[in-house]
Amino acid sequence: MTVIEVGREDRGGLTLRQRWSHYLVLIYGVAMLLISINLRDSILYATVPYEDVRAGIRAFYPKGWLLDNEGDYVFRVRDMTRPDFKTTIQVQIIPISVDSTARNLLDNLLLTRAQIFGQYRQYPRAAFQLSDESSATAVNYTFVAGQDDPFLESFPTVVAGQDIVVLQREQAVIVTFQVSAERYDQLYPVFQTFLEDLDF
Amino acid sequence: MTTTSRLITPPQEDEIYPYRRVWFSIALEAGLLLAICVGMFIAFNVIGVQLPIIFRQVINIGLVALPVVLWFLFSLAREQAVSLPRQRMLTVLIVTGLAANAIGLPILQNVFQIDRWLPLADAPTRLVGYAITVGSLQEIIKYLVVRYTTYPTLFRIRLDSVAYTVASALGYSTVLNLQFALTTNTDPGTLGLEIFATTAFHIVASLLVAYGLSELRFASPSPILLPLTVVLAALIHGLAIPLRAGLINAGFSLSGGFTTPLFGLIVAIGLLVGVGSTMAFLFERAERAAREASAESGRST
Amino acid sequence: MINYIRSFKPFWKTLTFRRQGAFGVAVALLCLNGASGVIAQSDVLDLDRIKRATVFIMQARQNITAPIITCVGSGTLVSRDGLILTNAHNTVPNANCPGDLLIIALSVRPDEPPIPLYQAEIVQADEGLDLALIRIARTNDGRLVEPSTLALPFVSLAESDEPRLDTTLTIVGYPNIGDDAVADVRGTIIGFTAEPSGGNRSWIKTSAEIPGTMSGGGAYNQNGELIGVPTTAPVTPDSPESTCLTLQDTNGDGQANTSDNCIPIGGLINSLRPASFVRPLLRAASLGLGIEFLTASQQQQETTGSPTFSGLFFAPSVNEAGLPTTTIRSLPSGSTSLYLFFNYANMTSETVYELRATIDGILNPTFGLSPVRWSGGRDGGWYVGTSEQPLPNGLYDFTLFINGVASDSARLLVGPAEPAPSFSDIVFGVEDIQGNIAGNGFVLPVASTVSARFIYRNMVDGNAWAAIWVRGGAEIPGSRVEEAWTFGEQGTRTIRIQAPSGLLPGSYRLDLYIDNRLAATSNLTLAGAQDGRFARIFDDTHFTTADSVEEARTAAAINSFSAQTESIYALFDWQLLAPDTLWTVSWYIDDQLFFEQTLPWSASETGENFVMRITGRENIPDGTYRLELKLNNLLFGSQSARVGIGQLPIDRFSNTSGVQIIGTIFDTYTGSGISGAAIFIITEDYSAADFLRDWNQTQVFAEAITDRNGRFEINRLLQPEIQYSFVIVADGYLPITADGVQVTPDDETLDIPIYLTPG
Repeated sequence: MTVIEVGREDRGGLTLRQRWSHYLVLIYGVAMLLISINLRDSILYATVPYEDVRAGIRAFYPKGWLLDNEGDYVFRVRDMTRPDFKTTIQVQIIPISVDSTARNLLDNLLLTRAQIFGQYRQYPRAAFQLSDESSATAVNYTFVAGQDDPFLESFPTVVAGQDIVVLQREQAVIVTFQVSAERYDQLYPVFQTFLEDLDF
Repeated sequence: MTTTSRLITPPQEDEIYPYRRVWFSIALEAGLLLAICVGMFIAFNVIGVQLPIIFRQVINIGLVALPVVLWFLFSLAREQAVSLPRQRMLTVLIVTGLAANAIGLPILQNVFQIDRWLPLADAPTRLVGYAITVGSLQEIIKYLVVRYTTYPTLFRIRLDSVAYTVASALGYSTVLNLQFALTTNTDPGTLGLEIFATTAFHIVASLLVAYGLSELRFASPSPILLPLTVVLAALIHGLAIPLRAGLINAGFSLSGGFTTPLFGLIVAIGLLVGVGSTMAFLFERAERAAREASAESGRST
Repeated sequence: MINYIRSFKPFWKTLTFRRQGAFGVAVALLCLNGASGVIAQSDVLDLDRIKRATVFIMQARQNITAPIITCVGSGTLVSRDGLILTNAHNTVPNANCPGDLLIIALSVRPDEPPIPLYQAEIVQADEGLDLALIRIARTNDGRLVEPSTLALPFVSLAESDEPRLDTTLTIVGYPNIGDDAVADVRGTIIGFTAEPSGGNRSWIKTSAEIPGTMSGGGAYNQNGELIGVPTTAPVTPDSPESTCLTLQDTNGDGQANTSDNCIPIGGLINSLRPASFVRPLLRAASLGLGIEFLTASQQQQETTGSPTFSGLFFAPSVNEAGLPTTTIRSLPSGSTSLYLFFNYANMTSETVYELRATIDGILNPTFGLSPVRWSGGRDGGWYVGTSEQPLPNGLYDFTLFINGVASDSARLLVGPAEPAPSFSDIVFGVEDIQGNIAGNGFVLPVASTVSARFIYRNMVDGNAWAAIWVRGGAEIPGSRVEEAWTFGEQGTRTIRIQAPSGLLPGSYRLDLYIDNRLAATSNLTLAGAQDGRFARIFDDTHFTTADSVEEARTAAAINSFSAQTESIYALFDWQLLAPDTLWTVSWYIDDQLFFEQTLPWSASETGENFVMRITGRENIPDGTYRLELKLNNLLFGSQSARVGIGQLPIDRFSNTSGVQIIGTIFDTYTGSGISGAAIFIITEDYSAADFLRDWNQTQVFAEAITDRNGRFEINRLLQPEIQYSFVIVADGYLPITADGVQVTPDDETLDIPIYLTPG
C-alpha cells in the first residue's frame, strides 16, 4: 500500500531545505568540474626530472614518456601511446668550432635530415628567446615518417618539428620537438613547458 | 409466500492502486533487455552467426533502441492504463538525451579528454578519475533535467522519483549507446552486452538520486542527503565503468590475450540487482515509515 | 572452440559404446602421433623466418628514366641491421654485371614475389671466393637508412665447420628472376671438393638441383643455421652454354628483344661455398673493419692472353703445404681421395671455370664442380680434389672448362692396380753434418745449399729417373740429375741443390721423374736470413698510431690503444723476400680471423717499415688484434695489440636462436586491428610495474609498434627459460601487463592475438 500524500506540496515552491540541497548539488557539480580539469592537467602535464651531470643538463620531461639515453643524443623521450607518430622531445649536444654560426649548424642539420627523412622541408628560421632570456634560433620543419619494419603495413604520417638551437662556447645544444602535424598545436604547450624547465 | 430478508455482506473491495507499478516495470524491462542482449551474445559470439553488414547494422540500431522500446511498452504505455498517470515522462527522456548529446559528451571529449589520460593512469587514479569526471557529470546532468522538468510539482508519491530518474537514465544511456554503436560498428553480441551494462549503470545511479529526491520531497532530511546521493551515484557509476572494463580487459599469455565480456555482464547484473534491491528496500521502508507516521497522526487526532 | 564441441556432441551420440571406445583409442593414438610429431619438429628449422631473411638482389645500371637490371641473384640477411650475404659475381661490378646500383627486394608476404624496398652497398667482397657482404644503405626512394633503426629477420652461420656427408640440407633462394616467391629445395650433402683456397672442404656438394638464380642464397642444416652459400657463376653471355634472359628494352628501340642487354642466369647449382669462408668477411663487415696496404699497394696484375689450363696430373693426397704427395695414373679400388693438379695461366677472379667428371663415360656431378669463379692468382699451380668418399671403380675422365669452353682433360683408372715404382712425400730442409734434414719443410732461409728428401717405393735398379729444379718457371741450369736408379726397391733418398755464390731468394719447384714420367713434385720458398735452421723473414712487427704514414714510420710501438682509436698502423721489416713470392696476411680479433689475403710480394727484396693500416667504420672496435705473416701456411711474424678493454663488446642482438613473437592487437568491441599500439617486452630484471613507473628504455628487451592492421613483430628472439614481462599500451585503451612470461625451447614462432578494451 502506498501512501498518497496530497496537499503537502507547495506547488512551484521549494522549502529552504530543498533549495539548499539543490544548491549543494550545484556546488558539487562545479567543484567536480574544477577538480576534474585539475586532475586532468596534473596527469597530462605531469613531469619527471632528468639530470645529466656530464652534459650539464637538467630537465623535466612529460611523465609516462619513454626515456632513452643510449643514442647519439643526451636524451630522448617519446610518447609511446600516440597512435601515429610517437611524439618526441630530444636534447642533443654537438661540438662546434668557435667560428660556427647557428646558420652553419642548421644548414648541416637540413642536409643531414634531408638524406634521412622523406619530404623534409624546412621553414624560415626565427630568433627564439629561452626562459632564461638567452637567445636561440628556432627552425620549424616537416617530414614524412613511416614504419621501419618492411613486413608491416602502415600509412606514413606527416610530422611537424621544431629545433631550438643554442650555441654555447664550443658546443651547440639542439632541442628537438617532433609530433604528428595534426596534433602540433595541441601538444606544443608540452614542449613549451619542457623548454621553460630546461636548464643547461 | 413469505419473504425473509437476509443480510448480504458486500464483497470486499481490493484497493485500487492508481499509479503504474515502477519496480515491476523496471524488473520486466531489465529482464527482457538482459535476455535479448545475452541471446544476441550467444547468437553472434558463441554460435558465430554471420550476417551481411547491412543486417548487422539494422540489428545494432534495433538494440540501441531496445531499452527505450521496452520502456515505451512497459512503462510509458502502461502509464495510460492507470488512473493517475505520470506526466512528462517522455519529456524527461528526450531532454536528458539532448543534454547528454549537447553537454555531457562534448565536455567529456573536449574538456575532460579522458581518453588521453584516464586509460593509462594507475588503478586508484582511474577509479577516482572516472568517479569525478564521468560519474559526476552524468549524474548531475540527469539530476538537473529531472529537477527542472518535474520536481517538485510532478512528484506525487515517492516512486514518482524512480520513474522520472529512470526515464532520465534511459535518455542518457541511449545517447551513449547510439554513439557507441555508430562509432564502433561492432557485432550485435558485443553491442548487446555494452548496451545492457550502460543502461544498468545509469539506472542504478539514478535510483540513488531518486531516493535523495523522494526523501527531500516527502520527508525532511538533512540538506546534504540529496548531494550525498548524487555523490554516491557518481561514485558507483564512476567505479563501475573502470571495474567492468578492467574485468573485461584481457590478461596476457603466449596463447593470446582474450577478453572476458561475461565478467562485465556479471558486474552489471550484480550492480543492478544489488543496488536495485537495496533501493527498493529503502523506498519500501521510507513509505512504511511514512504510513506509520500518518497512522500515528490519525490516531492522535 | 565452442562450435567444435557443439558439433562434436551429436556425432558422439551416433556412436555405439564399442565404437566410442575405438574412437577414443584412435584419438589417443593420433595424439601420441601428434606429440611425437611435435617432438620431432622441435629441432626443425624455422623455414618461415629463413625465408623472410632471404632477399632478392637486383644489380642495376642507373639510367635517366628507370634503372636497367643487369644481374639478379639471391641473398640472405645475416644481421638485424641489414647486412646481406650473397655472391660477388652478381653484385660487384664486372664485365658480365656492369651495374652500379644494388636493389634489395624482400618477401613482405610469404608465397608472394619479393618487393624492392632498399638499396645496398658493398661492404666486403672476395671475387675469387665469389662471396660478398652488402649492407642496406638506403630505402628505394633514396633516403639514407640508419642501420640501428633496422630490425630485420636474419640467420646465423653454423658454428661447426664440419658438416657431414648425408646431412639433410634446405636451400633457400629465389628460383626465378623475381617472379616467384622465395622457395626451398631439399637435398643432402653428397661430397666435398678440395681446392687450395680452402683445403679439403672448399666446396660442399649437394644432391639438390638448385636453379641458378638461387645462387647467393643459403643452405641450412636442421637447426636452421647457414652452412653454405649455393654458388654458381653464369658464364659469359657469348659462351655457347650461357643462359641469358632479356627483361627490358635497354637500347630504347621500343622493343625488348635479343638485341637488348640480357641478364645472365647460371645453370643448375650443386656446389655450396661453406660458411667458414663467410665468417671472416662477416666479422670484418659487421665491425666495419678494413685493411689497407700502404707500402706496396695490392697491384692488380695485368693479364695478357687467354686463360689456360695445362699439365694435368693426379695425386692421391696433398700435404700440409697443399702440394701433391706423389703423382699417379691409376688409383687402387676403395680409395677415398683423389686430386687433379694442373697449372693455370692468365686467370682472373672473373674467370669462370668448371670441372666435369665422367665415370665410364657417364657424367658424375659428385666429382665435378659446377661453374664457379676462379679463386686463385693469375699464374701457378692448382688442384681440385675429392676426399672422404669412396671412388667407384671405373675409367674417370676429367675435363676443365674456362668460361664454358673445354680447356684440357685427363684420364685416370680406378680399380685393381699393380704396384708401380713411385716417388712421394718430398720435403725440403737444411742438411746437417749427420745427414739429417732440418727446417720446416717448405720455406727455408736463403742459403747456398738446399736438400730435398723423398720416399721411393717399388723401384727397380736401372729405372731411369731424373730430378729437375725449377725457379721462376725455368729449370735452374746445372741442377738436373738424370741417371739410372741404383738405390734399391724402397727407402728414402736425399738430393740437394747448391750454388757456391748462394741460392737466390724466391720460389723453387722440384720435379722428380721415373722413366720420363712425372712421379712427384713439390714447391719450396727460399726467403729470409738464416736463424738457426729456420728463416727469419719478418722482423720488428709492431703497431702504432699516427696522423700520416710518414709519421707512423717513426712513431713508437704501442701495444695498448685507447678506445675510440680511429686507425692503427701495423709495421714490419723484411729481408730477402723475392718479388712475386706468395705471402699471406692474416688479421684476427679476439682470436677470430677477420681478414686473410695471399698475394705476391711486390716490394723490394729487403726493406723496413712495410705499413698496413686498419680502420673501423668510425673507430676501431675494442678487442685484441693480432697480425700474422705467413708463407706457405707457415708463420713467420706475429704481433698483438689491445684496443680499449681488449675484448669485443657483446652484440646483444646477434642471437638467432629463440622464439619469435608476432601477433595482432584488436579492439575488443570492434574486432578491428589497433594501429600504433606499443608492445614492450621487459628484461627479466624488471617487472611490468617497474617499467610503467620508470618508462626507461634500458629496461626494454624488445619493442614493437603495430601497423594499420594491428599487426606487430617482435624482432628480437625470446630466450627460453627467461622470464619476461609484457606491457601493451595504446591510446584510449586499458593497458595489458604480464610478468613472468616464459617461452619454451619447443615453441616456434608464436602468433598472438591480443584484445584491448577501450578505457
